[in-house]
Amino acid sequence: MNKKNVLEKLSLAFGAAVVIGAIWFWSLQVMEVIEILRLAAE
Amino acid sequence: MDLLFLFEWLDTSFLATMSKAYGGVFAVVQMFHLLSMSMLGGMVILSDLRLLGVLMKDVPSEVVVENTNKWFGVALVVLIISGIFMSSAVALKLYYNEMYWAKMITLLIGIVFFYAIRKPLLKHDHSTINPWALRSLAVSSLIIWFTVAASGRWIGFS
Repeated sequence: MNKKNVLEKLSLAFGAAVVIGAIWFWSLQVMEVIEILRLAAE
Repeated sequence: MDLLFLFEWLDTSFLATMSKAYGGVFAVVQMFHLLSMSMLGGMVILSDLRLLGVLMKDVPSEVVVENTNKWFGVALVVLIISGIFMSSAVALKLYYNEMYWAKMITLLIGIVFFYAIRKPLLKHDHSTINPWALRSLAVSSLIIWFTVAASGRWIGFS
């Protein structure tokens, strides 16, 4: 397998990991904000 | 690996003395930080949206990527240098801030991704690259640099 093929596969795998990681990370942040707003409203 | 010693050193360094004592110097450095951030963001948006076929369709993507990569590198260097200076003013506070570490980890991932995957792959003729790999490259680049910028802004609120 040449270098270009390896980079293409890396790019696809990296893309999937980044999308999953970003959804997880920003969900945590948004949930934290929601929790703060909920506590403030109580 | 505990990096506290590094932040303790930075907190008492000459940079920290300068950034804490001279508000004007800090403001000028911050201006460069923000300018280079907008430049880096602009380069990322330009090249990634071109790869996705959204804009500048009349210009070959190789040309857009080659030109934006150059200025991306310049912006990144200015960002890192000005960022170290700005960090020195609140080094210990940043050390205990979770969002700061989120930003640093994402920045590291972004740099490795750019120089180890994106740049070498885009050196090839773009018409010979798997279109899904190109799309994946552009989307992950946009997400990473958005996260770096947004988590950086988030530091001030966390």
